[in-house]
Amino acid sequence: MLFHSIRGVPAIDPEKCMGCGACASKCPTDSLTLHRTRDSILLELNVARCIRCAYCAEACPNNAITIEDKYTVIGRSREELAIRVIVPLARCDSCGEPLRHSAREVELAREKVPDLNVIKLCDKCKVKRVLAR
Amino acid sequence: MQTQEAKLGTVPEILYINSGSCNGCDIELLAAFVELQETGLKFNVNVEARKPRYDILVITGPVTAQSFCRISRMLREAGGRLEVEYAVLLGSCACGGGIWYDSYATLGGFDSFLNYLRRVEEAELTIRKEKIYITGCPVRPRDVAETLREILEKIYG
Amino acid sequence: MIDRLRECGLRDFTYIDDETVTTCVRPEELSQILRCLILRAGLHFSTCVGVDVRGLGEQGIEIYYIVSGKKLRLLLRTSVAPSEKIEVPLDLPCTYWCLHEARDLVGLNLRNEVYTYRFVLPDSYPRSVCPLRKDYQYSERPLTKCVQEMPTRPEKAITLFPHIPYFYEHEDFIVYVDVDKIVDFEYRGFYNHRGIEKVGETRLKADQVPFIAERICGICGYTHSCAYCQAVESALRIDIPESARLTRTLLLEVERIESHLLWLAILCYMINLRDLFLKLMRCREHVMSMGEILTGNRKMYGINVIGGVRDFITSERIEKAARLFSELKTQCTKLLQELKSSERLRAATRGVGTLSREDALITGAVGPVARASGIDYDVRKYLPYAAYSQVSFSIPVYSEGDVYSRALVRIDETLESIDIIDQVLGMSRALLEKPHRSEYEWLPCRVGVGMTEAPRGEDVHFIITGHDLRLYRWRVRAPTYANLPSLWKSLIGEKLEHANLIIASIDPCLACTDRLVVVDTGLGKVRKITRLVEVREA
Repeated sequence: MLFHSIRGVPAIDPEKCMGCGACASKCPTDSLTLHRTRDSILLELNVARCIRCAYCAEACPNNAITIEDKYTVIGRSREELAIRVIVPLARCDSCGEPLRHSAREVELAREKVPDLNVIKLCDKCKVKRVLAR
Repeated sequence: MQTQEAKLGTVPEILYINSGSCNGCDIELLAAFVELQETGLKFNVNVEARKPRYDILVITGPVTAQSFCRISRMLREAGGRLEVEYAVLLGSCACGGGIWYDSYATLGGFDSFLNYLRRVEEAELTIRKEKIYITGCPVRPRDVAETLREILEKIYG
Repeated sequence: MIDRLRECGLRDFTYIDDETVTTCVRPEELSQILRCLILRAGLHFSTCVGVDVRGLGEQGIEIYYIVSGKKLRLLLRTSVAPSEKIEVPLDLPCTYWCLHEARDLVGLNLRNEVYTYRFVLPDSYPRSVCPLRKDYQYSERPLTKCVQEMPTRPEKAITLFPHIPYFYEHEDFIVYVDVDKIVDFEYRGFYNHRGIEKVGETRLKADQVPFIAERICGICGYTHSCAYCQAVESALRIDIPESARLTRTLLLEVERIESHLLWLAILCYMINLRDLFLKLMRCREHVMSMGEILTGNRKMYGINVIGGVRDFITSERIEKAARLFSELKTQCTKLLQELKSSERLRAATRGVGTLSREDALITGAVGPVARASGIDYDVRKYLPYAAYSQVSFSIPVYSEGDVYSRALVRIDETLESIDIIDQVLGMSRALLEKPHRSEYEWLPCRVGVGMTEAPRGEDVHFIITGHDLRLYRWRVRAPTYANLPSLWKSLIGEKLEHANLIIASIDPCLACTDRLVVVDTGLGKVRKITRLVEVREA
């Protein structure tokens, strides 16, 4: 079930979010936005603009977004009304540089397809390994 | 009630502006006013600025380009300068522009409206004390009534 | 029906779906054909849509005229070359607004303009700005210092304060009076123009549009999202599941009750029945709660998606709603009967603002306004959608055409809606059946029309699909858009003191009973009524 009694503000579980951006692409008001920094993904929820449609919770592949019963959020500034979740990126096994995917995405891929040998290498190290062969 | 009025001398004035909202918030505001009545706090609601100073400004809607003209005309008629103690922004539209935050026909919420007002119209709207964002689409009457009651109690002291 | 269309000179019909036919006509024949369709064949003019077709590999602008009748919806398609001018049929006021809107938004050239000022956009936007043309960037704001030419005859203007302090929104009704008789009327509105259509055509994908469609109106939003979904479903030929049809019917009727109760409450306020006003508002709160129980939000149900509804409805929610409904049913019915038999209502509204059947036809009035003037046009019966063919209900029609009949139509309709909800709640097993939505495949360049009977009348959504789950064109015609032109007929000749009541009687969507500017043409006398309405009075 998407919500209990009221379709309130979405709550993002930072333990579950993997920074895939499915919610951001579904959000009709663009109140969920995805920013990339060098070593992490930043998911920002702008509660001021959120229209409580719960489309993000429906889109989330990892059930990281739940709809709370809390509907009204009262703030004194725009800053107060922003919720941020930082998702660290996976790192290269060889050189330690951040990869494009988040650590949780890689973990989930390993869980879902146990037979698959997920290589956690950055592009440079991949090339190096191939050349070394 | 008698003592309250005596202390203050006047009744708090609310200026209420609908800047192109879908009326969802406006009707919830009506329900909030009905609820507020039962608290016995007295206040006046104005929909047109006739004085340079109001106690509370309540605004709904994303401020459309059309209503921007209307509001700035109203401000010009009131002397180009308006002071409010508290500004209460109702709903996602006023708080952050809502679903049409970047459309050609809206200004994308109250904050960006204040910028345009300064830049385009050279009019001034000053908020002296607090700006309160009540989010939701539409807002819930209970929460609006609660916030307004708190402010009114502050004004009454 | 098709024979009647042939009599008006139409040929070569193509079917879009079972009820919608389309045909091409030349621009110069149009006025004649429309006259024949409306005045002779008795069809209803819904709206016209200007489309910039340069993105479809063609030249200039296309206009789609939507005309509807029993079990038939007709789309007349006209191509207009870039330099060609279109004539506004002056004897059909129902066409004025949509043609002027097409002039403002897509750059249609009109030969005889009725409104010389910018109609939809602010006066400060240059004439060359046509936001719905495909080369216009949707977030561009050409904002300059505001100029506003109004009223157009700036003799001595007097501002009347709105009588209801809460329902105030920027919109100007300018009334010209001779002593106390209204001799002319002007309307400057569109202060709520938020560029919804452009946002839906550019930033949003088609599956997100139901949410924006819902936010067109804060009172009857759900009907808009239904009409939009129906338009897409008709364009892509999607068949929606039975349970989705029933859910939509249920919520549409909940919304109708809520909207009518609000209007009736305002009417009571205006004719000094303060006690009934409060009672009706309280009753309305229960209806709002019913929406919340079913969908999680008091307003903006957010339940519609293309192809059906989202999985919000559970058996507990239905049960809870049914329990609440059985309580509120008796209370609501009692209140409505009380209002119906009220002597005060009859005295204050009888014979005020009369709109004849002929005037209602040529101005294109819809909904309770049309039904109070003897036109039985109701989309739920004429072109059944959702599950309206499965429930039984009747359409109240009155012939007097005054404010009193409009009130009676709305009271009777509310009672009918209560009955429909009862029937739908009785089919709870079908309501809960899964799945609630059908899968669909997106196809470009399809045309679709969706119509619903909103609380205020017929609501029309027109779409042309584009590539990648996007819309090429989306046009919304809200019911009030069709009802406002009828004010020219019902206001002129009436007394000034009734102006507010008559304007309110068409139930201006966005519940605004606005600022009135009164210009006294006879005496040029200035009357100023400024008063601060105190909340405690209510």
